[in-house]
Amino acid sequence: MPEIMNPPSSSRIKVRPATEREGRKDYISIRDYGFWYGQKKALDAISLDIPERQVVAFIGPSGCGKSTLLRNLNRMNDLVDDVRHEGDITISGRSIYDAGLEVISLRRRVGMVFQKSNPFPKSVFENVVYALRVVGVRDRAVLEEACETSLRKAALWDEVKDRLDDSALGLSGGQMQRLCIARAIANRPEILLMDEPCSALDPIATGKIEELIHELKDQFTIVIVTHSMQQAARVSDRTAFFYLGKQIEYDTTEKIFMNPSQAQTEAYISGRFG
Amino acid sequence: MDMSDKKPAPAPAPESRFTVSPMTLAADRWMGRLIRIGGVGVVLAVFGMLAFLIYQVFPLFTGAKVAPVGALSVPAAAVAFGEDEYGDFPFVVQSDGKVIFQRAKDGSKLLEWSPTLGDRRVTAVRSYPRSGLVFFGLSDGSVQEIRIAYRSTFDAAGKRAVEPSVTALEPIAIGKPGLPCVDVWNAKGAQSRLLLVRQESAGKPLLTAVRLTERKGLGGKAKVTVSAPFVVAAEVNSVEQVLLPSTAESLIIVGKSGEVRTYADDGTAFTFLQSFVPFKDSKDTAVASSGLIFGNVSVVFVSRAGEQQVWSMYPQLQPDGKSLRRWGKIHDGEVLAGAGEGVYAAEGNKCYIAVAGGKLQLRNMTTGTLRWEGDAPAGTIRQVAFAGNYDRFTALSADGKLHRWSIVDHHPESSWDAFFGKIWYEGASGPDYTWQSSAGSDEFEAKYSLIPLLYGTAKGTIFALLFALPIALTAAIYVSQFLRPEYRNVVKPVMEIMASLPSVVLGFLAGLWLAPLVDPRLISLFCAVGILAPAALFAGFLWSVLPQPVRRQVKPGMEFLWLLPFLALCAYFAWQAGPAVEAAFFTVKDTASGLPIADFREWWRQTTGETYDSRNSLVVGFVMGFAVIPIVFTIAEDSLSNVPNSLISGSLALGASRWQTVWSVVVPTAISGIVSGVMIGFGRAIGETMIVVMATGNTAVMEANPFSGMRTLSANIAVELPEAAAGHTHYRALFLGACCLFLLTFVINTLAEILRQRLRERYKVV
Amino acid sequence: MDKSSDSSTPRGEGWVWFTGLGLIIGLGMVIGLLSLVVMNGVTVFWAPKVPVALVDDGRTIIGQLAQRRIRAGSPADHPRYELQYQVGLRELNGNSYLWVDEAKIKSESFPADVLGLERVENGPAFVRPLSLRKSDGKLIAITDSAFEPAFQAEVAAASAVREKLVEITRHRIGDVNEEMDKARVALRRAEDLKLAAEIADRRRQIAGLEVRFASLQAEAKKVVEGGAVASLVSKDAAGREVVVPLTQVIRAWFPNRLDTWGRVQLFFSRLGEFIFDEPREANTEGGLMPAIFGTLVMTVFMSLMVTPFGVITAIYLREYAQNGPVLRIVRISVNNLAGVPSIVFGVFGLGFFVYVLGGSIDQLFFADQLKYNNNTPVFGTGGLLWCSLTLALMTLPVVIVATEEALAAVPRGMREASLATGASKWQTIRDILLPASAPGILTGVILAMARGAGEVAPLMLVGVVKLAPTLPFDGSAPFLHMDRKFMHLGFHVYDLGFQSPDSDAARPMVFATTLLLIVLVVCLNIGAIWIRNRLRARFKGASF
Repeated sequence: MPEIMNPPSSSRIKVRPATEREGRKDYISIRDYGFWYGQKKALDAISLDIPERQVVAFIGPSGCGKSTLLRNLNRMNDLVDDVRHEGDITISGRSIYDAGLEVISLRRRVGMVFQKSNPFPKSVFENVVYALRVVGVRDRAVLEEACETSLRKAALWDEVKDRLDDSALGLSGGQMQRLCIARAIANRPEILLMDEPCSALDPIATGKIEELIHELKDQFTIVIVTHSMQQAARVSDRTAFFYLGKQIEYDTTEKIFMNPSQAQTEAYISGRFG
Repeated sequence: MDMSDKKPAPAPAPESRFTVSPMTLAADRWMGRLIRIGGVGVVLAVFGMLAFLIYQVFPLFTGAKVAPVGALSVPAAAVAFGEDEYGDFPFVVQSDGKVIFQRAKDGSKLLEWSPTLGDRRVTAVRSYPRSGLVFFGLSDGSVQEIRIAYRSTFDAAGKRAVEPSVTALEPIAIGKPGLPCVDVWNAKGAQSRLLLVRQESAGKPLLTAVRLTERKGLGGKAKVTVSAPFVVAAEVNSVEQVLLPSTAESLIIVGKSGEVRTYADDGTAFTFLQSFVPFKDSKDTAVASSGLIFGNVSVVFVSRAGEQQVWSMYPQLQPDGKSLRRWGKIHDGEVLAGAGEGVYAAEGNKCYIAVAGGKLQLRNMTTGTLRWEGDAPAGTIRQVAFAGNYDRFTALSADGKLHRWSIVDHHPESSWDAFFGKIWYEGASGPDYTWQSSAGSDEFEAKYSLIPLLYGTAKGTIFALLFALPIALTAAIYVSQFLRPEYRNVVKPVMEIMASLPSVVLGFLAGLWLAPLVDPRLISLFCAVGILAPAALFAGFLWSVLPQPVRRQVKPGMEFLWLLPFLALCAYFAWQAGPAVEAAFFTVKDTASGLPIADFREWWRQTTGETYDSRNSLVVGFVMGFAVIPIVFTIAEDSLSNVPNSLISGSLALGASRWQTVWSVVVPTAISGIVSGVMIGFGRAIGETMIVVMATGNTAVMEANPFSGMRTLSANIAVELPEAAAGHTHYRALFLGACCLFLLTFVINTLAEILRQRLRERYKVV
Repeated sequence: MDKSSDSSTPRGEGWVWFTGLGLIIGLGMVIGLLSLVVMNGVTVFWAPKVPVALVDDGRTIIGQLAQRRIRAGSPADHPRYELQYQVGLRELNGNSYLWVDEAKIKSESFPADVLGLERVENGPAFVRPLSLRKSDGKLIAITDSAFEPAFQAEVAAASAVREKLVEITRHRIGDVNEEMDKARVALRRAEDLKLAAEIADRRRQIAGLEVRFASLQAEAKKVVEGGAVASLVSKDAAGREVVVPLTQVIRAWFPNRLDTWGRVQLFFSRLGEFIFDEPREANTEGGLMPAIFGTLVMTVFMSLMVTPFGVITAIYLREYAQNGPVLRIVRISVNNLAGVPSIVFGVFGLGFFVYVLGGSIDQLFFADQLKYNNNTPVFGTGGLLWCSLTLALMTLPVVIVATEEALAAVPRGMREASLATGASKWQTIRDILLPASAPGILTGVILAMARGAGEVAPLMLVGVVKLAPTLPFDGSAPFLHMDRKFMHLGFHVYDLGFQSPDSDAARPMVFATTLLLIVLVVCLNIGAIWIRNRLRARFKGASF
């Protein structure tokens, strides 16, 4: 893909046309959602719906709350002390804060890929099948099949199939990040959260991961936080723009980048701040 | 890649692969609980340790619990009493000599006994309850000894029954015939027994005594020889009270005006020793009551105004320059509520009961503390006696009552002053801090001052730090700032190994190898060590004035390799020069031969008058260096090498030399880390045990002298705790020492930790 | 750059070199101490040549040179030296060691017939043998070529007899005695409770044991009488005749005849005895096996106790406890516990473990034992269990701090990755955190072991003894006796070096023990440092 090899300038952004698919439009539904770290309000009155099997990008300047919102979708922020929220988030109609819902179960449904690749200090194979082992799968054949499937989906199989038993820490940066993606999809979650997955990678590795996102959206609903507007434009179907914890605009990517309705959005897109 | 089989909308029910198995949840919950319990438990145990130590120490600082356990009605004519070991069957002696035994439980009479004396009457009665002896002074001046015995019998059911018996011995004529006895005393000396009677002859007191020498005859029958009566203290005009120590070694007579005259027994007669007026500065100089304290070397005097004084015998400098053991005041006690009515000493410790102003006070003589105070029963108290194991005392009042109290007082000799105050002990020439926890006899006054131990701890620590800090800190600066990294990776583990050397090994080498080795070559050692610092400075100076091409030969960070042979050479020559230095400066006359000898040890003894031990503080300081250096080094090195490089490059870029950079930028930045290292090293030195135990003489002296030993808190515990009986004052005093060590090190380490955290925050900002 | 001429002479270089001095002294101290101990420790087992020295007062000395030192009172500028010889034959000389003024020695020679003997009693002996009286009464003179093989054969035979005797007296009679003690306690209990059947039983048992005891004694007597009666007739330095029965001889060698290989063999034979045998002669000779064993068992138990508790506490503090001032205080306190003097732990161990815990255990479970065995405490006195517990408590902060650091070194991303995959917290800890921090934990445990193995002060209060009659581990149930007192290398050093009545005789043994202790502790430490460095390298490689 030539445009990946030559990243476009900020003035001219190419937008991938939105693909309309079947599935529920309000698969993930965020309603009047607010979130505090201690006394600091990080998110304020967020309301948006994420349709099934689409890629939604969260963009905005640093500290705007986009990562916080993403991490709340699988309740990763529970690990932080002294946090609280208001409003609600539902996934296929069920609140993620439902007392009857195990947070572990939620996280199995909602996979996550982090900004920095974080493979475990284990072999490549063990990394990929970790989610299955955690669920309790012991059958070697099942594990091997799942490993291959996930690695293939993560477009890593050909590169690592001969070194499945080597330490994952020996892979290159891009491979490690794809390994993390493979690990995240090994248990076939329904949703995949990606928190700036390419921020630490070079353009070639970034290109591969973007291509991967494109292919994965057939099976997963993907929410991606990104710093790069070009990336958001390239990979997402819909884009939400946040600023200072507030949701400024949420629409199809095309609309956001071509014809934003808010002045702040336009200012950010055109690189006047952020 | 359109996967058509995945097309249908996902079912709303969660899929099985997302459900969490109950096993996983249970494992998570239980392990979480276990870890929480374990973690909290361990943390509590850690704090529980301090709590336990304090709990063990706490009883030392509680007073005595004394409770009345009833009164027994006895005949009102009773003037003296005695009891058996358990106090179950007391007896009273009436003024006519009648002895009545009663059951303490119900007051019922057990036995009545009357003396058969013919035409003589009993005019004086004295009872010694502990030995079961009663003495009658008779109207003709003779003395009759009555022996009380209890025989325990057990019936078939194992119940104890007691059968008292009374044996009267043949009266002995002691006093001037025809004059009635006013009072009588008995004491058992090392060789003989002494019987003393007091009579009144024409308004003048007359004291007469005999000695009874008992010799075991053939067949085990004792044969008693009675000496001829002799008059004691004939010159005395008035006798208010006579104190005869139970050892019969001396005699103390209190006169009417408050003059106290003491006599010493030289085996044949009592010779006058000394006279003094305890209350000579008071308005009323009279002594209202007095009593000998257990051990027979201290007397408590109480005036009519309730003033208390304790006098004891201790070496005093006489006008002629000789030091003689004489009586002198050692304590000024608290003023009591009224005139003293009696002083009664406990057996086995230094406590006494003072009766004054309608109050009974249980006091400890050594510390002067009031253990307990209570109301005295109505009626004059005729006699008070303690049970032998100090768990009870009994008082006979003039209204015919035998009052009894129980005592719970496990640590009568302890008080804040006993541990941390200056105390004038019996027989000492002045108040002092002393640790001397045990001696051969019961009569010994235990001395539990922690001050000499704290002093010893401080001394050892200071010597260790004096030696260790310069080395550790300079090494840390050199290693962190100048040494090449590849050497650093070797040096640091070596220092860590130094930290791991068992202290018992260091102590052994210090005491058995080093001390005898350096002893004869002390001056050589001083010379060799003293030359090192100037030599190193000189080497550096020399190098810096050398021309640049020569200097390039020494790569930065390798200086120490060049320094090593140079220093070794310097030290060797200094060591060899040692004897010459010793001969030049430290020559003294040998006390034995009178010839001049060059010996620093002798010079030190003669010049300073201080002691010189081969196992001394310098040796301890040096060897403790092994324990302290690596700790200080590691922490200081860490904080120095963590100083951000930007600061160093900044300084170097300004043209500062590497030393200027280190001294003005690196060291000030890392100073709190360095201080923290020093404090942790301090904490380590405070608690070091085996080195001190093995490398010093362990004498609890308070001398700043570097050539004498010391006893530290930790060494004291290691040496004495295995011998201390659980629960006793000694045991708890050692626990108090451990508490002090714990708190001391804990506080120091906490401060160090806070300093280090502050440093970490500072680096964050930089 | 500064243009002044000053720039060529950097300022303060003297101080740089001065700081180098600190490093030199520090390193010198470590290396000096280690080499001192190694040299003194190793030479203990090395057999040097033994001189026959003529002193100018007419005396002759046959003995191994032990020390050379400055004479007390000799002028410091011309020091005179004196030599200490180990002459042995304590029963004749009163003392094994002898100081001689170096200047007074007229001559030294090394005749080949000097014989060194290590004996069961009275220490070593250095003699010049004359003849061997064999078991059959035949005399073989030293000049006879048959002397040496016959001598070696007789020594071997005598040592077999001795071993048999030890087996009977120490082990079999010891077992009988132990059973007897138990039976007597049981009998006293039965008598007190008036259990007629048991009384009879126990009486019968005791009678049986007495018979066994008598027969063992008879057997021992037979061994002594029927065994080798060979003896060596020799003369000592003063020319007195010395007859040594060979049953007394543990080892014999001709120090001036041995070649290097022979000396090496002798070295390892002595080293082997030192490590595997039991002590003799008030611990000044023989081996250290009970002390080595005691140290190891105690250290292992200590680590078995400290590891789970330390790790659990660290996990709690790092992963479960709420962050805040309380946690900070707790963490600082736990850290600082590492700085609390070891003797304080000993005091706590004695007061709490021995008297409170041990006392209660005795009251609850050994009331009979107390009542019928003269109030002899079982757990209410110092012992292996309490030593291990005390040291476990003492080393707890080491393990906690090491584990916490290792857990903190595991990147946050790994926890998040694991949780985000749907692992439970416990699964994350078990599968990710513990494996990742295992080297760190291991480092902490090894450091704790090193500290525990070298510590003496607290043990003096809670259960080490200079000579334990039995090992804490033996063939009688329950095999491991946690209540027993035991011997310990560090305490051995203290006791021999400091409390021994004959400090000269104890000296070689102290150095050898010291060497062993240092080797143990230093090896543990080097292991810990090595693991830690590997751990660092490993995390350096990871790109977190």
